Amino acid sequence: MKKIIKYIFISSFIVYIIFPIITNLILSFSNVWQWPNIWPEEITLKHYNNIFNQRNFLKAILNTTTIGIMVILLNYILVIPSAYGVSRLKSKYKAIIITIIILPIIVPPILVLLNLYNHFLVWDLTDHYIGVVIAHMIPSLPYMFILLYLGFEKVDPNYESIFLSLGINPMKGFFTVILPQVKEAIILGGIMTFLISISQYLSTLLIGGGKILTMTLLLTPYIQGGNARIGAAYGILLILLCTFLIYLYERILLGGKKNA
Amino acid sequence: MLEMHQLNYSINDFNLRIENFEVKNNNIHSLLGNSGAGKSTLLNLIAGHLYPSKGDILLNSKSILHLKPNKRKIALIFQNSLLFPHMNVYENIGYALKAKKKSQMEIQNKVTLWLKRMNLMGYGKRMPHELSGGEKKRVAIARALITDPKLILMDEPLNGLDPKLRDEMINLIKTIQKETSIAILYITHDFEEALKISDTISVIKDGKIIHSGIPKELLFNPVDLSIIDFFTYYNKKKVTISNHKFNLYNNVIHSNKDGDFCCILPPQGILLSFGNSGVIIEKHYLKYGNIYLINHGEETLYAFSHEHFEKNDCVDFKIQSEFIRYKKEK
Amino acid sequence: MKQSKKNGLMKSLNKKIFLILPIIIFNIIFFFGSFIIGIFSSFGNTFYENGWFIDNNFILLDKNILRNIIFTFKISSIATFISLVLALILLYLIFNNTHLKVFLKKFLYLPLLTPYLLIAFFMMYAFSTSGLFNRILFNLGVIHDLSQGIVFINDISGRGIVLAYIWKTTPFILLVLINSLEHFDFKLLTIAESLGSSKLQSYNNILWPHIKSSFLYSGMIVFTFIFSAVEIPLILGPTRPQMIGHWAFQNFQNGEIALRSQSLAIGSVILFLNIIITLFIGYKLLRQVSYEKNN
Repeated sequence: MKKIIKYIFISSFIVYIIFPIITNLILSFSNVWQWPNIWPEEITLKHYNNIFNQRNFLKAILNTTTIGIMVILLNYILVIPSAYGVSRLKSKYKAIIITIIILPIIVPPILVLLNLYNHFLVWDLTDHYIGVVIAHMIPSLPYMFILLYLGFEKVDPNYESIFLSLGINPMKGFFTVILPQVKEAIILGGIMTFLISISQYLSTLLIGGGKILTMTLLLTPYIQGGNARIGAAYGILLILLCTFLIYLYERILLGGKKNA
Repeated sequence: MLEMHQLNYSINDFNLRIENFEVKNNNIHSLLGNSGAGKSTLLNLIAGHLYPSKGDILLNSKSILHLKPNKRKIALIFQNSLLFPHMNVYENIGYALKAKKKSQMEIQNKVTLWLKRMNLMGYGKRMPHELSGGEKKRVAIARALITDPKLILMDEPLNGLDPKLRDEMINLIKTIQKETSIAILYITHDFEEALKISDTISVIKDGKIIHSGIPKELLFNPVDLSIIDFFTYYNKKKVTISNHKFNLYNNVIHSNKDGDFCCILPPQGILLSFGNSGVIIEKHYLKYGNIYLINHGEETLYAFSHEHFEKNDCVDFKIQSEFIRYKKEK
Repeated sequence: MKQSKKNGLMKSLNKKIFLILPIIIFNIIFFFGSFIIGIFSSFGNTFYENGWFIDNNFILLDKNILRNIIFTFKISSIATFISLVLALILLYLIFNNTHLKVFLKKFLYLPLLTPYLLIAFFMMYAFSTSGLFNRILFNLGVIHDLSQGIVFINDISGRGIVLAYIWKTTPFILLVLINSLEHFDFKLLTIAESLGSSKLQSYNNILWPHIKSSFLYSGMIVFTFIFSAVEIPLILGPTRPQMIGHWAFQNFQNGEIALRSQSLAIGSVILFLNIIITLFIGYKLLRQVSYEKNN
């Protein structure tokens, strides 16, 4: 008896998680779905068709990808040297430095956002791609830093002594010996950054001034009203994208663990 | 040839002070020491990761202190082989040559030569995780030696290998050394290993070199008695000398001392012959003879002999009192 | 011949600093720097009026603002409490079932990494008065009319907000708890039971201390996050009273200059409290990790 209750409870929770997604999935395929029917009367693909034919949609994909890639590249430039440096640091300041770098994870985004926008107004970085890129970097840097820091910690410091003793200079040795060993962490960091960049709504809206359209921003007109079905379709596409990225992330994470 | 003069290095409470130290060419020179004696510090100083506060380090009569670690032409072999996991055996060995932009032909020739030398023919395409411990070590050595270094630093390279593999590796290292006439500084805490592999042995303790010489000397005539802390083969016994006489292993010994002493008898101070005072329970092979562990009643003692005995042989032993050293008991 | 008096460790710190500097500078300019400028702006300068006073009343004492703060506090506490309890119950139900744990660790990535906007969106369609949830209730006979449907969207009690948050925060807390038990030896529980304690007692005395700190810390993280969050209240929340983050964003985006300064002022207050709490959490967590590493 206890076991049945236990499984009902757990299943209910899982159903609760899946419920909103399934609802919108069905909605996105429905043409007519009237109260109080549980299942739509008419099913169609036309909403998805509409989407793929809209110029806005293509622009949004382009923007999302370009911004995402720029954020990833800039993150790499900042994180790879610093994660490596901090992992090889023996000083007592290590904990403080790490705290400073990962602080943005735990400070609420709205606080960062209001002040960042304010800041950008002064510097005239609003309504600009670069402003949006920076706004996306702030929440994603800590995650990439943690992933790469943990990756570098696993690489034996004696590897550096070895390639130095072979006559290879530090830069070259780093790129040929150390970096390939954190390959997985680098890829995971990229995926995570991309995921976070896609998720950004408020920052893109505020800093981009509404002029820069990303996939998440496509949902904006549907907040107040508008064709719920197309909105649902956008939502489903977006969650498919996120699920795909999560799947990639898991695959690479597990693949790395297998080879360890 | 590596030379160190008046080398000083301090960190926290530890002081390293080396007056003179030499590793000659065509020589395997072991540095024996316990943990904390200063072995790693010395290694880092030679390799260039640490800078001394005073003194000089010379390689082939030229000072290398101002050289960065990657310019010193000193090869490093660690206990952990640390092969590059993302490269196969061929790429690991040829790594240094490829990075220095040598020609494909040269790389291929040299790598093949070293694969042959280290008995690794056919292993070229294997990845490090597919290799056994011994195979990994051989790749690591080939990777280091292919660059024609002027000195090889080995930091407890054979730690953790089973005895048979260890002996194989020791022979391999000695063969390679003879072929290349290179100088090797071999750091270890295992004195049996040191005895087997070295041409010269130095002992380091608390940051100072307390003995330097050929293995036989270390075994039989150490400069500093504190060395015997290392060696299981020495016989140590607390005795009370009264009337200038005391009893040692059923032998009466005459001495000009009186009182409580710690009596130290090296293995060559005991002469063995067939008899029935004791039974041989262990036999250790050395280059110049054998060490036997003898059971005598409730005691055990080590004896050295050129003659061959076997386990379970019954022996008599005679103590040569001129070999006995006395240490005051506190 | 170069002889340096510095020992090797100091030297290595000097070199490393250059590697670490870029990211620190970035953080200082854009992250910390924004806060400093924001705080100064809130006090009023040529761009802004002083946001700390509304009609000569101190902003935190203003009736409307106070009502919003209380509402925010209420919603955050309820949502945090429910997710903590829910996550704890689920943990106790699954902790010794490896299959379920492995499955959940993968499955729960989905709610964890879904964007907040998307959650709000989906909730909107699923839980509106004519949404699927209410339709199911109707078909089950629980309600008899469209107008009897449970309201989740923009309702004054804020249940839509709570529902949406626990959708995401319960998986988060659950994952944190599962991970904190990774090195836990479950045989300890069977041993305790063989010595005579009941299941509940063994949970309380052995399991609970192990997860206590993760439980509290994740709870604190969830609370502070919900307190200042914007995206879900924006879509699902009421306008009177309003979640404080929602209020700040709306004022900032649409309002006049005076309202902007007020948003910055409120933001500064929340920021101050937040930094104290999060530094406390962050430092404690790092100390605990290094403690576990050394043991």
